[in-house]
Amino acid sequence: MQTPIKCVLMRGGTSRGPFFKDEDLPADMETRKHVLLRVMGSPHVRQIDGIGGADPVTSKVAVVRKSKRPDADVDYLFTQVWVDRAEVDTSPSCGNILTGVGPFAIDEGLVSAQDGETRVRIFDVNTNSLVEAVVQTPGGRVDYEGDHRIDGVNDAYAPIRLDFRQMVGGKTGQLFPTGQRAEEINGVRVSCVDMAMPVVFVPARQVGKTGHETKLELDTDTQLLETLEKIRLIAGQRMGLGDVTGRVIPKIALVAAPNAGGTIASRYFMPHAVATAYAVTGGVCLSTASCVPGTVPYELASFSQNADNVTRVAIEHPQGKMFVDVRIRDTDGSVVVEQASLVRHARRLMAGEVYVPSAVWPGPQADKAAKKTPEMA
Amino acid sequence: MSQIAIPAVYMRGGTSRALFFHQRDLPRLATPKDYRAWDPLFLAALGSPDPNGRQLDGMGGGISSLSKIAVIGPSTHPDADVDYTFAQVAIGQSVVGYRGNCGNISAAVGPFALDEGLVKADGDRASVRIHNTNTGKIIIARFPVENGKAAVTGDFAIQGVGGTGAQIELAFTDLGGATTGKLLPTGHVIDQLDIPAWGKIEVSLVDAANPTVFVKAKTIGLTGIETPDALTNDAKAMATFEDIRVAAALAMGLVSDAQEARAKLKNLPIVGILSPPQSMTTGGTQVHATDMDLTARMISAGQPHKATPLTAAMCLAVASQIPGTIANQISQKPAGQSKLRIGHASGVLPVDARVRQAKDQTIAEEAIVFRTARRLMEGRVLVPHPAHDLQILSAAE
Repeated sequence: MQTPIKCVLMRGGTSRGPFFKDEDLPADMETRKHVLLRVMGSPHVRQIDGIGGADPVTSKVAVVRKSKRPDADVDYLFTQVWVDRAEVDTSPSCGNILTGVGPFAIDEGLVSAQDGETRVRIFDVNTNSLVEAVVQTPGGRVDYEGDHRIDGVNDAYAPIRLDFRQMVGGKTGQLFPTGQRAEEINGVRVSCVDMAMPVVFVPARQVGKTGHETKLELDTDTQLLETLEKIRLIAGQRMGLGDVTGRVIPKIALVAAPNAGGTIASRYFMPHAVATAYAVTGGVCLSTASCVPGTVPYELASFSQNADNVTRVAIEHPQGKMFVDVRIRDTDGSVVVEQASLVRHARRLMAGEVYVPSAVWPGPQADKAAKKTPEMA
Repeated sequence: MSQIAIPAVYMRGGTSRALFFHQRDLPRLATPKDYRAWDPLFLAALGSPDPNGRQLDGMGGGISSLSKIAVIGPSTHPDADVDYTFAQVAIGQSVVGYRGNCGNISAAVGPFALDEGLVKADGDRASVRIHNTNTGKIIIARFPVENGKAAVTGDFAIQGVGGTGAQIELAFTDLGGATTGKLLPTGHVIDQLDIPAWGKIEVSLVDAANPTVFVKAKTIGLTGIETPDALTNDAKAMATFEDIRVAAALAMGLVSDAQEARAKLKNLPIVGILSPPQSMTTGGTQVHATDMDLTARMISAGQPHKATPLTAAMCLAVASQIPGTIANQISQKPAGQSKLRIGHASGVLPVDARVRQAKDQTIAEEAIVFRTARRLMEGRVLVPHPAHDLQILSAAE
């Protein structure tokens, strides 16, 4: 016997995974973990007995519910499901999967749509911060089709604007958790920034690189990886994250002057291998830092447009460019981020019910029965 | 514009996954086997073409075994319950292939047909007769039933899938003389082939599911448990396999001369190197001689196979039941056990066969392979508007 669970498979930006409403999953977190592993087909290198795509970017899960917070419409919990290990990780968030949360919330009736555009206020549970999504809803229904293009996806779709301005200091409480905009670690001048994601920015030149290398060139440079890891461990301490050995945050990135018409070039480490393109959260962090005088990215950036005090930062990454619109106010040495937004797109791929063997979870009736037992006793 | 939604079931069959559609939910084909009206839908549903090779914008998994489609409809064959059309969707290109069937996905067709109410089951087992339109062959699926639906849980394990499930028997019928018209194309259970490096050697030439030539490993100086890589790097062995294939093709009447076998018919017959049960280590796992009835290494299209082609395994199971063949001589299958347990390069595959003796000829009635399947997701798959054309709109009306 199998248990059906309501589920929508979605692509968000350059990631893919099933979206669930919180109420449709087991309340017990250990059971939930086993259900998510079984849904995806993990642990197995090809995730053959589930709906995962056998790659970290297609082995992601979003759980969404109506928010109880006055400043949010929905809560979003992101889970990374390991492909070949029976493990799940909820410590990082995923800005790509986040793109699907707005349309999912509207499609599933968690948020009522306006005619034209609908604003969805999302509380990101993993990073404890707020994101605002603007979804195209002509006639009060989500429109997925449109002309917006992002690198890494073949076709054009309707734009979804995500604003991360309230994600300052998500993990550490401050934009510059060390108290400085730039500092020296192991003889290298770096910037430690916490905006959507804590990231250490390292000038490529100071570690013998150009910042325009391919992913393969950097992934196979063990000497570079060692140098960066030493810097990351010290930065982790200084940012108040403690001993970050074996942890995936902070991330670390090489930055360099642009050479393809962008604002800045960068290679983003996850944190020990270079991202195929660029993480949404890391891109927000870099773009914001690029607009703050005194930081390492600011010193390398080349700005070409500046309308309404909004800077469109174009990050050159291995697969193309990522664009983030930033507006900051820098007065008396304190920085206020007024806008940090980017435009992605998403697609609803399949909607219905995903199955897990009943031995893994017999279904919501069993949960209710289990809850009743102590009350009756 | 909103996307169009088409009812679909996502299933695992054996070691593959496919999106299953009812034929009634797809655009009507202008003429049978003219699949052009389906192609754009299948490409969009699976996310092809994806220049980055991941099928990120669809249901596919970026590798061929995760990029498949099955279409199930009413039978157009008098001996079948349902029609089943298999489609392989390319990943990096806008190409959908309809040549050949997929044995793994075939395993999910019976459970789909029962769960969707296309066939009925009385009692605790179902038998579904499947007409595969790609090959024109009939496959019979037999599997346990639980509360009127295909049972999913069970204690049967297959290689390449973690855990266990309910066993699905897939019986492939009409096997004998698949290519030559005769189960024993030469009329003999043993033939002599003249091979330059070895002189006259004994082989069995059998044509079931696919023509295959069987030879004892020791006849050509092998142990029979060489790894595929070791065989690939053994130039002498590789030359011997090719000489055996060419001589066998000629003896089986597949070609009229050796030149044609070398230049044109590059893939057949399959060469099967047989030896008694032997313990071996594969992929870090120990396989014991007691878990198998014989050892086989299969050479398909000039390459030592990583496991065994399913067709060659079925041919071997049939051959093992024909008294006097090399397979029959080597097999240590206990009396009363009908399944042949084949120890191949990456594990053990059980295959059953039913062979009948009629007057002066042997008839292979069916070969049975054993798989598992699972319904993974059901609902509606969504396809962007540009992917469908006017034909689809008219079908929906």
